[in-house]
Amino acid sequence: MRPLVLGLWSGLTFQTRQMTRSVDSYFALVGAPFHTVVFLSMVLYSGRTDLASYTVIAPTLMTLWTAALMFSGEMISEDRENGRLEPLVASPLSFPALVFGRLCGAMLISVPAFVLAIGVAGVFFGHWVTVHHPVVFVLAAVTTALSTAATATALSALFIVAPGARIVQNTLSMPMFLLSGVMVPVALFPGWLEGLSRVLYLSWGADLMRDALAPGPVESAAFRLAMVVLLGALALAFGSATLVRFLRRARAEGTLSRV
Amino acid sequence: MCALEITQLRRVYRRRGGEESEALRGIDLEVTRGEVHGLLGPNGAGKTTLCKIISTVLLPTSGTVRVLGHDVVTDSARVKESLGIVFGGDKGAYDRLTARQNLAFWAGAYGLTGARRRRRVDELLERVGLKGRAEERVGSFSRGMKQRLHLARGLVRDPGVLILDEPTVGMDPVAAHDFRALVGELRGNGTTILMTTHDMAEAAALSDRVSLIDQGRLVLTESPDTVGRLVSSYERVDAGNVPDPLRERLAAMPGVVSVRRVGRAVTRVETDDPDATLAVLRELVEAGIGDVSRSTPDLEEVYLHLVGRRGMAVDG
Ligand SMILES: Nc1ncnc2c1ncn2[C@@H]1O[C@H](COP(=O)(O)OP(=O)(O)OP(=O)(O)O)[C@@H](O)[C@H]1O
Ligand SMILES: [Mg+2]
Repeated sequence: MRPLVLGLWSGLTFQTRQMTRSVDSYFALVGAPFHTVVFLSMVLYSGRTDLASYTVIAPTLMTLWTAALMFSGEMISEDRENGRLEPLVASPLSFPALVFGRLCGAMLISVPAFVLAIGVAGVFFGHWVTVHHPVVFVLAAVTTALSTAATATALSALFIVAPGARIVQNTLSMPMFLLSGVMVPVALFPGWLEGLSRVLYLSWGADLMRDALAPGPVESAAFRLAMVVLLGALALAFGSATLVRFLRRARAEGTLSRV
Repeated sequence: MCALEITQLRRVYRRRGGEESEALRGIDLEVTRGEVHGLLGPNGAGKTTLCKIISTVLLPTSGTVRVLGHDVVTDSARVKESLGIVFGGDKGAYDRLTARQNLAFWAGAYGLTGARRRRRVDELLERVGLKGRAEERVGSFSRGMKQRLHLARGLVRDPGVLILDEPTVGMDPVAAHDFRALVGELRGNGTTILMTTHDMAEAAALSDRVSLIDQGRLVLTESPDTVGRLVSSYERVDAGNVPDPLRERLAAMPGVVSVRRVGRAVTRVETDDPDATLAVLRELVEAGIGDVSRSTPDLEEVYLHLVGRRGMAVDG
């Protein structure tokens, strides 16, 4: 228990501190206001103000996922190349928990993204978003962010055991945005594709966040929250198990410090 | 109970081509609590390998290592709680963070929080002489400054056992001197220390016992003094500015084994019995040479004697 707490807490505090100190952390953020401008212009031009909620949720979630990809790809290999993996593994904290904690910290970058998106929509278009179901919204946002961190943990594990996979790292953003209905409602997809997208935690999270903004009642919120959490938990379990196996093998082969 | 208990420890590395190399070939070593143990040996002897196995970041191929009674493989969580580790070199820090933030991170990783953590970080910065540079990013630090930071990291939690792998690499003489004082202080607190080094003087000055390791085997483990006496029964006399004719005369005396220059102006005479030593001393004084000293071999000579004068060649 102690190693988990140490790992989570160290990771979270470390990442937030590290992010505020390095410019490239903000790259994931830059797109958000522009995306809002593009999406909202299209929505307003076509007269579909009912879709306006997409235009603030989409940039927020895109920032979230971009950050997940960006940080998960480099995190562990950077530690290894800089000779930090050994002292980290030698310390009492749990390494998978540290990675998850750091990625949770990285998710905080979506908070300013959300604020920017809302601000741009309000200030430039006079379209102020109201959150009709604040409790559901906050719960959906938090669980979605946690599940994103969990999925990023799984990705980081994948990238360190199969470095070749990092080639696809940057191509993973568009498919994810589309498949999970961040940009286009999943309900518009053909049936088989919709089925596929339901395997992704993000499709549940995105839907729920949008519904929470709308005035109508949110149906089966608890079940949908549970789906977000469940799919995230599965990713986290896979990621931790993969990291534990990776560390064990690296300790056996003496490759913990080699690049 | 032993602080470190190493039994029949072997470690085999598999290289890229699939060929195997045996870095440790059956090491047996016990280090008692509170002991400062120096580990000497040429490049590639297996010192770092041994340190890594003790630190739980490398698994042994066979044999066991216990730290304060806890097995490094089966009980690694306990081992991690009681170990402090300093790996040499200038890698291993978060370059974008300041020295203070780096230490705060590691203190957190070892379970310190809040005011206790702040106090500890302050204390350590002071102790390793980085207080004035605490708010600077570590990326801009010199090698020696990074090394001091590593040292501070190894001490974040008052470890029962401290593993130091070439802790003074890159440190200037003043820092190295401070480091020695620090080790003395830690010894006073009862910390057990295993320290690898290439600096014989450092090992002799700091260690209660030293081990020589060569090609994955312990060649011997003794106190620095005993090692000095073990190596030979020779005595030696060092003298400054000995003219050539006198040198030839000394070389011809009975009991004199060798006469050679060791420094620019220093001649070293080795004898194999005390009477010869006295005769040599008398001869030198009568010739009016005042700069004369008598000594026994030091650790460095022992080292050269035992691992041979292999020069720059590293074992394959
Ligand atoms: N990760 C590794 N993979 C393969 N071989 C290794 C690895 N690490 C060390 N070795 C080999 O094991 C042997 C012992 O290396 P080690 O680093 O333990 O020596 P050392 O005594 O610390 O040397 P130095 O004084 O140069 O630091 C060497 O032959 C080295 O090539
Ligand atoms: Mg070494």
